[in-house]
Amino acid sequence: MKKIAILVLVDIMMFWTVSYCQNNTALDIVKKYDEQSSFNDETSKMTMVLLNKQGDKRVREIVRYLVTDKNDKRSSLIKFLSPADVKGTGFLVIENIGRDDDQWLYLPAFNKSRRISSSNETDYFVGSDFTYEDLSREDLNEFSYELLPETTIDGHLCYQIKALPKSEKKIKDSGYSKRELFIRKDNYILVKANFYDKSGSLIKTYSTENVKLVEGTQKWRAFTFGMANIKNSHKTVISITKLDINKNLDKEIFTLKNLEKQ
Amino acid sequence: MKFLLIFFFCFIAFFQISFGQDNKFEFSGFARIDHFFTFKFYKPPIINERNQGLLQTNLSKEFLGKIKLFTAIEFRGDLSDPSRNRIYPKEYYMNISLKSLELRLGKQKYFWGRADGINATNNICPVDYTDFLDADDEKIGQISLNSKYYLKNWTLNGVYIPFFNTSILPVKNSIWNLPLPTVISGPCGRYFTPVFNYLPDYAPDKNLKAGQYAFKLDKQGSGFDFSTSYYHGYSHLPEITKTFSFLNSDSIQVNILKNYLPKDIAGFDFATTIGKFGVRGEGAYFLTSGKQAKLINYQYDYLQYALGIDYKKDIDNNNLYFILQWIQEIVPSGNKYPETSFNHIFQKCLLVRAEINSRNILSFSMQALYDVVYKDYYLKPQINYKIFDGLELIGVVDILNGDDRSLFGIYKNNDRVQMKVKYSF
Repeated sequence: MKKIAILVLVDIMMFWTVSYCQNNTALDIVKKYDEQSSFNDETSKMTMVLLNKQGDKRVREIVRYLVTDKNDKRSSLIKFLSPADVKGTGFLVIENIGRDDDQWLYLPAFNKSRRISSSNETDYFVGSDFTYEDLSREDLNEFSYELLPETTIDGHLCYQIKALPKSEKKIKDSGYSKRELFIRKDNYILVKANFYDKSGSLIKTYSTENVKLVEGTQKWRAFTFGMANIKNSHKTVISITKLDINKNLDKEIFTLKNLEKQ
Repeated sequence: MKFLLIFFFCFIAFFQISFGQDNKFEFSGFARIDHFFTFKFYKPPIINERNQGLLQTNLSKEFLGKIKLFTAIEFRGDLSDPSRNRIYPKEYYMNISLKSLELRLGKQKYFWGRADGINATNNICPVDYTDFLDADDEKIGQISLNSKYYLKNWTLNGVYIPFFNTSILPVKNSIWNLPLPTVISGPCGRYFTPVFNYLPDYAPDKNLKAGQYAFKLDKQGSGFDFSTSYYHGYSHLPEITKTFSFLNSDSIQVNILKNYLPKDIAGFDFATTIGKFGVRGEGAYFLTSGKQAKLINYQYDYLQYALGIDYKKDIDNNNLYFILQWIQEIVPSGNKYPETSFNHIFQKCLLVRAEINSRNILSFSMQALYDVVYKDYYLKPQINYKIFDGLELIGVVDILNGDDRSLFGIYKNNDRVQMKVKYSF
């Protein structure tokens, strides 16, 4: 009886050790992915195509400026370049720690900026299928990660990781009960993701194309990526037409003066 | 007037010359067709409809990375009212941007104030009130010098407007022009035939002596935006006064005078957010002055303010948006201005707006303005649909009601439908 108890205890400890190592590896992988996608500053020009289930297309051209300061706080400025009826519309977000972010919206029709309340993570970004949660940087402390069997996507071997919100706050705030992340083994770029709603149903899938190094850097980026909403058969495809990383962006860009500049 | 024409043509000439030197310019604008009609038919010469085509062209050119020239010209034609046809320069200016300083010289519009809809601190531009309810689009640019100095999160704005211009009131054949009475009651229960006599406006001279100026100190950031401002000038809307004199036993002369009174206005506004709620406020204290104000009994200083909250929620890419705003006028002396005076319309009003917007393609909104004292109201349901990028259909219904002596009640027969098709390029 004593021998059986010891064997069971050893089995449990071995199981715990093996799974701990696997989970530790999953976190390491996600950390490398996070490092790969981080930057001091980024400027991108992109085309966003919204497709409904009838195949009708709406096209937006956007320029986006992002900067991360030494306290890891992000500021972003997004401006619409087309179509003509939204041209000049802009969003400015200054991230804060310990209080809500400062956000302003500029509408050319009103000719002035308007302070707006912080968007919920689950709010959608300007009619697209991306939420603010999808577009923001992930806080790795707020999720638990588990390594699943490897898989091949578009000819590239990928880690498959299950991400679950960890804290009570995150479980409540996040729009997803679970995400499956597919990260390429060779360059740690996220090439695919599945998103599950609070009831556990698959609601969205994220996919990428045209993955390549950003000129002058060791950073990989998907220059085309999309989000397909399974529930309503709506899809958003974003293509990056110009991308610069770590070019010492002028902090003056992230001001209301610049937001209102036409 | 000559000065303005010379300035405008010099501007256009400069534009043409610089265009020849450099091909980088931006051309944009919109074309719109409007069809308005009232439910009640007014007999001619009153015009019940608007069947209007409008083309606005915006041309801008930037050079040396610091200088920008901009011009916006409107071409308008109205089949129902040819007197509205025009080719009109809405704005034309030169903008110089330096690191901390920005200067803009020319005809330009100003948009001061953080409250929704009603901005008591926005007093620089007159407004075209030809269509009383369409006023949002009809701010009249002012030839002026606008300077802004930026220091971190602070902006100091100074404006000088050399010439005074009045707002435009509804014309004689407009549904918004209140008909003059054909009979006036006099002493002892007798009735008289009025003979209307329009006196020359009491208004500042059309020269540099009537120059106006304004300052604003603005701060944004750290969760709270605010500004404080000051305007010295004149009211763009007149106080209309009537005096009477007997002509004979049957008729009475009614002398109508439009008074554009001097005004000094100290203003304040703010905006902040508390969770999912936005909180906005704006107030302006109007200091009246001068003998004329006293003469016509409009000498009492007054405060106008608006305080509102707004809330938004996103449900599966459908944005719900609510605004609730209180607007009030307070006269510290205890006196009261008539609600039908153009400068004192919103004395105790509640503004409510609800909007649902689906992917920025289809939106439906309802706006209501209710006067708590006179119990008159204005309802405005509206639908916007973007058929495809750049092309938008807009449908609006204007509903006014209330006591015959109240502002919206006076116009209660003007309920109407507005239909617009707009293409932006």
